[in-house]
Amino acid sequence: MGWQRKVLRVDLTSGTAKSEPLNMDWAFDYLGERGLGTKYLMENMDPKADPLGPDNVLIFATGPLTGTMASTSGRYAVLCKGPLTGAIACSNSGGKFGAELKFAGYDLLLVHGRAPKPVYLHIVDDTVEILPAEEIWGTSVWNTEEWIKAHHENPLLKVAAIGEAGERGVRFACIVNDLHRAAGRSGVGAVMGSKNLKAVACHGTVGVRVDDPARFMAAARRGHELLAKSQSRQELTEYGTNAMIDLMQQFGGLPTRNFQEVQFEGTSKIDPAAMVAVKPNGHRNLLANKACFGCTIACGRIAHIDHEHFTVVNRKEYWHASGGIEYETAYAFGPVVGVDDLDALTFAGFLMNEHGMDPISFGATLAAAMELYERGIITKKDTDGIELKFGNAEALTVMAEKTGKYEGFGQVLGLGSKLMCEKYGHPEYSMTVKGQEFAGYDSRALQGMGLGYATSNRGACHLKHAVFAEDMEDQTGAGKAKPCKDSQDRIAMIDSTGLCLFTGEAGWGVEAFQEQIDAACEGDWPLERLLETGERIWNLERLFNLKAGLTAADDTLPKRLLEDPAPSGTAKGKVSELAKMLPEYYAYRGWTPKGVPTKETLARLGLGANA
Amino acid sequence: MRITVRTGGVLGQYLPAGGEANRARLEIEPGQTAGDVMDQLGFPPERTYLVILNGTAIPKAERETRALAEDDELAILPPLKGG
Repeated sequence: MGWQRKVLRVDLTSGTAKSEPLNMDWAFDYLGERGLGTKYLMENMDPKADPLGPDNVLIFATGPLTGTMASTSGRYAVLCKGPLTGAIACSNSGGKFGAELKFAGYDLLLVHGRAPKPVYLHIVDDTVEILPAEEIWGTSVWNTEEWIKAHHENPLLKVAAIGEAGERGVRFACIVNDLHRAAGRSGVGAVMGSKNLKAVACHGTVGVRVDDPARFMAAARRGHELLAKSQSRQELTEYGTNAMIDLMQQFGGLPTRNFQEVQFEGTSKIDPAAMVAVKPNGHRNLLANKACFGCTIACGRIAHIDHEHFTVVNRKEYWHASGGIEYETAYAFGPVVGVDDLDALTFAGFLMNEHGMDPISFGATLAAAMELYERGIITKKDTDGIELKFGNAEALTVMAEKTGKYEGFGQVLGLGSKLMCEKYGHPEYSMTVKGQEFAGYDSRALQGMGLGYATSNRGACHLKHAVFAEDMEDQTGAGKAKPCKDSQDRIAMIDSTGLCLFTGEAGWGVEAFQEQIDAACEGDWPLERLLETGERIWNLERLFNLKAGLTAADDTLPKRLLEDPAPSGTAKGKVSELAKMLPEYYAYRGWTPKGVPTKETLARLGLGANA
Repeated sequence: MRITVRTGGVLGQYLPAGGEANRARLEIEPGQTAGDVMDQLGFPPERTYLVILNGTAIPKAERETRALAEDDELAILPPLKGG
């Protein structure tokens, strides 16, 4: 138990939906969610397939603890080959959708092929329907969710949907569930759009069971208590993740104006204090915090836009409350594009959720476009007459909407920064790894973070490793390989449980995960087994990428971070020391100097057949 | 002598009353270190902090050994990681 032991397999080409037993050998080796999804992906598709073609497989994967009484049990992952990167895509989301899929009785939903016309899935326990989506195709995520719930007269449905951006193939289109949670990165929304799949709507009444209920409840209770008394949890509850922005500003690791700088003068206008300040007209940005299913941290933000602000003054449809600014949206709509207008940031965030786009990739792509514009490489003729200068809040919001609706210059932005900068002959202004844009941490100030970005299997990502403490303690590249690898394996495991990574930021050690997994799942799950599972998952992802054609040459950082020193802050004068860290990292991983897992490493992890 | 202490988020509770949000002037003895100041103000020793002295991040070891000077700006910040 923990697992439902059931997989739902949908073939959109033939229009069939069937459930089958979960492969328990795979569940015991890969746990769930990210790990189990990766195994199913490897076994069901050729990694060389076109990411926007019918042979890409789209997987929605829950973990054994999704939907249980453990704190933060709302997580699920979406896996496929990513159109932004050509690498494995594994995007994690919260909200309520994942738990609902589990309650309907499924561990995984596999989507194959491509529907001849737009469709959506309607899942209520054993009843699975593939239904026409003509009425909602071409409309937003928000309209889609509202329509589906009204059409089925079921407000208890949980909906994961794409907007126009996903339908039209914006490379960083995402899948939004519960209106403002998202499987955000790598373009998983474009894959869903390429399959003519508009939404998955789900309602479940089967429930979830665990192997040893009394032991599980005691462990879950201890987990709750740890979070309750944790000061870092309190920080997340009160300020959300945007608490980071003041720290990164003071530290000097806040990517500003397309990573030309590492500190931003406008931070105090978009930080948590600004979000609770009351303006002269009585408006306050932040209204409340919000939790995902089962979560006792509640780091989510609910905010609204000043009705007098230029973005919404004549648009009442945006006067409601919705998802507010978190750290990554603050970075992507703030410093990296030079904008310090909190209402503009909030409006851009609303548009991301409404149209289904990754804010990190959109913001960093816009930043690259702004640099191209300021350097005279593109002009107003290219940008629909908009002055694309850093700091232009109107440019931010107008371009966010154009990209969401795939109009005008939005179609160019929708390529992502790598293809866009290549199109204009200046690839050096694209701040990406493996085609995916960086998050809000500069690799020159945080060396281990740079190593993590370069080696993450899904392209530049800040969430797949955790060397923050080591990076703040020592701003050189020395000794970063081991904590980077160890944290990557640990996080691969956590991402496979169904629980949220932020518990580790808010007071849990690995033991808290181990206790709950061991009690919920059949079999014995000591810590060593769990950590080895994480290492196995990491290596399987690497194998997918190698088969897809990626090599060690892709484990790199942009020239700007390798050669242009940080101009200010605690890392003033420093560049990334990736060249020193990478060989050490490969060796510690048990890989060849060319970044390929050795036969011995694969055999040790039970991956010998892939050697 | 006097120094400025800055902090962030919930760590503001450790600053002496009477300053502006998350910022305070503090009277200290010559020879006192960042570590001494943190102990004095009650920052829990078991937590991790990012400590920045006059714009330079100082590692744990140095917090205990480097003496502060007049008008130093000491920032004690919580480590977090988020999305």
